[in-house]
Amino acid sequence: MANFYKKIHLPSALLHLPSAFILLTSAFFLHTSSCQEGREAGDLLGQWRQTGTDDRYVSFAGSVALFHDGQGRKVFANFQHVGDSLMIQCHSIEGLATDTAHIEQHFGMKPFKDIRLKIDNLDDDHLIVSQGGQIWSFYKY
Amino acid sequence: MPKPMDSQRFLLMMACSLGLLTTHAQDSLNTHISYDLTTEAAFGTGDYTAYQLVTNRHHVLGTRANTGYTRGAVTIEHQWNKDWKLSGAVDIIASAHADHKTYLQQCYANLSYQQFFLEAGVREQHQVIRDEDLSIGSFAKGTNAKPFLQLHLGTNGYWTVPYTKGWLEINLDGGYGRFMDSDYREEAFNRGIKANGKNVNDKYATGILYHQKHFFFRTNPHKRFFFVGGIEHVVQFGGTKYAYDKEGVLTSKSKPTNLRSYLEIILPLGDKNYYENDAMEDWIYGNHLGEMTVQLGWNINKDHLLQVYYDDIFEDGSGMRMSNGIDGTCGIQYDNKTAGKQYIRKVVMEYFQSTNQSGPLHFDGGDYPEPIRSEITDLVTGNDEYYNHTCYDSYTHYGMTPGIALITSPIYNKNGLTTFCDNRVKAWHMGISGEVTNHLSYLAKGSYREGWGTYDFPLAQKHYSFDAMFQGIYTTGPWQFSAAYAFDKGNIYGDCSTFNLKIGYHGKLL
Repeated sequence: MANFYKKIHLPSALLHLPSAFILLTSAFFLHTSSCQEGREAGDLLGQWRQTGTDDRYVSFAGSVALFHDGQGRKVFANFQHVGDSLMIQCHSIEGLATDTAHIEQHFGMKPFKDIRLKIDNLDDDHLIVSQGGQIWSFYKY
Repeated sequence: MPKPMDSQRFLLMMACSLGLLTTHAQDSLNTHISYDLTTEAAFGTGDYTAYQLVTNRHHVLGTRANTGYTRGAVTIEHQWNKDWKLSGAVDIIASAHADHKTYLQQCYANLSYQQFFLEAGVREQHQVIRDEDLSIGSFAKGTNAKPFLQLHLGTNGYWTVPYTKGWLEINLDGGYGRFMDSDYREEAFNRGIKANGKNVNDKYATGILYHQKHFFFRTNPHKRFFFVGGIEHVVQFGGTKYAYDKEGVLTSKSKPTNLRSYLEIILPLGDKNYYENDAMEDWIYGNHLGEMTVQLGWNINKDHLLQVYYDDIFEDGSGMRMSNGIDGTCGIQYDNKTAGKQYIRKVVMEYFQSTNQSGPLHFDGGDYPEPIRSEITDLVTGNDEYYNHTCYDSYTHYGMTPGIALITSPIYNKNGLTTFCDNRVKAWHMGISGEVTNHLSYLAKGSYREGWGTYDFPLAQKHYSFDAMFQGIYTTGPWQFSAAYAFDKGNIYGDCSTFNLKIGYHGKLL
């Protein structure tokens, strides 16, 4: 019958374990406690998809926001998150009216240069914002 | 398939090397010539040969369903003395209903001095620290694609550094080479032209050059605890890019391949004047990717080893600065080194993630004209787009990623796209192997993954797939017989069910 395993002499192994564990844990956290790019965005960091759609995404990183439709249309913006207020100023790369329409009509957020939203809920997976009774619900994607 | 001229040159070079070998063999006992004959068939249902049968096998078996091949290889080794050895091999595959019909899989010459080597040609390279049979492999220098043509030097395994009393060993390799799939890339690009005349692809590249290096060090592996650390780094550079301009005309632009370019890609330091030197083109010259590894080994006793590891992946600068969260592979591996048959010989469990990519967006004012360059002043260098590149299109060789196959290779894209469409992935993987009798061994592995597409083009519906394989291997003398069953369930490869049979013979001529 094939040997399956042998008895493991634990006591002496365990004496060495703490130092090895510290070494690996330190190496791991040194490695991963990196500076996450765009971490200044705080809890907003990430890509959010509007609930019930597959063509409305908003991403936050650093102090930059990005609205896109998942098909190549992009509008960049500055944003500020203060308390439960979210202020967004969009900019069109080529000054196109279609970019303004993309934000104000496709996303329904206006005005293009000065969007002011209230954050009703923000956690790891969900973001709910509102403006004058209109509500947008997003989930992390 | 390499261009005829290239393969003729190689065969001539190899023939000369092998002729040199045999004519200088003063003692025939120092010269060994062996051959391997293999035939393999995979048949079943579904659109593809099941994932686990194809993955991490140097693209020997085709991805199409119901495929097979016959393979013949001749290997020559000549040991001049205890320090010097010359070896080489020629290895040809002839396939049916496959991604390639006939292919020169390997053709190389290797000169070794003690634990160092210099090698030229095409050769299947082995994993340095990941288990070749059970692990998902390496992000950059994996075993999933056909091997590259290269000239490289390094150590044969780990080399004990002198005067360290066995406490420090290093394993290194480095060299330059070339992607051999220029014709394939052009054909794949043109397959993207749809009935309306528009191409779903916007670029391709040919004549891409290749640079690779790895450096790993470890403490004495025979002590109770030992540590392994290191880095591997791969670069695509040079070549010619073909892309549509604003008028829809396909235009070409060649990248420099002078001595300076060969030196620049060793360390990706970047071009601070890239605003003037063609913005959005080459902030960093070449496509750089790789991984950094930390690993701890615990010799429980002389027969049992447990290792835990983390491979931190990177593609471009933000990843190199470890700004991409925990993207990479976390794993644990158990090895049973007990002699004789062991029901459990090795176990590997891994978690792989590529969803962070240093954040969801990339904005650099230098990439855009005024006024937006002045309106948004923050610099955010995320959206690393693993395995895709603005110049080289994709990190692939004949449509397969040389890295981690859990990021679905473009060869599987039914929409004709030549880029990776799903590089934001989370996956769980496990593999186990052992022996049932002295002649019969087994291997089983399975992966479950989820994918969200890319940041630029998120998937409307999340991808998922469960892929598993069970294999029995019977070895008797020079013969090896293998039977396997593998399946895929999900919306990446569809539902595939594949039976696989393989017969191999290893013979010696001298």
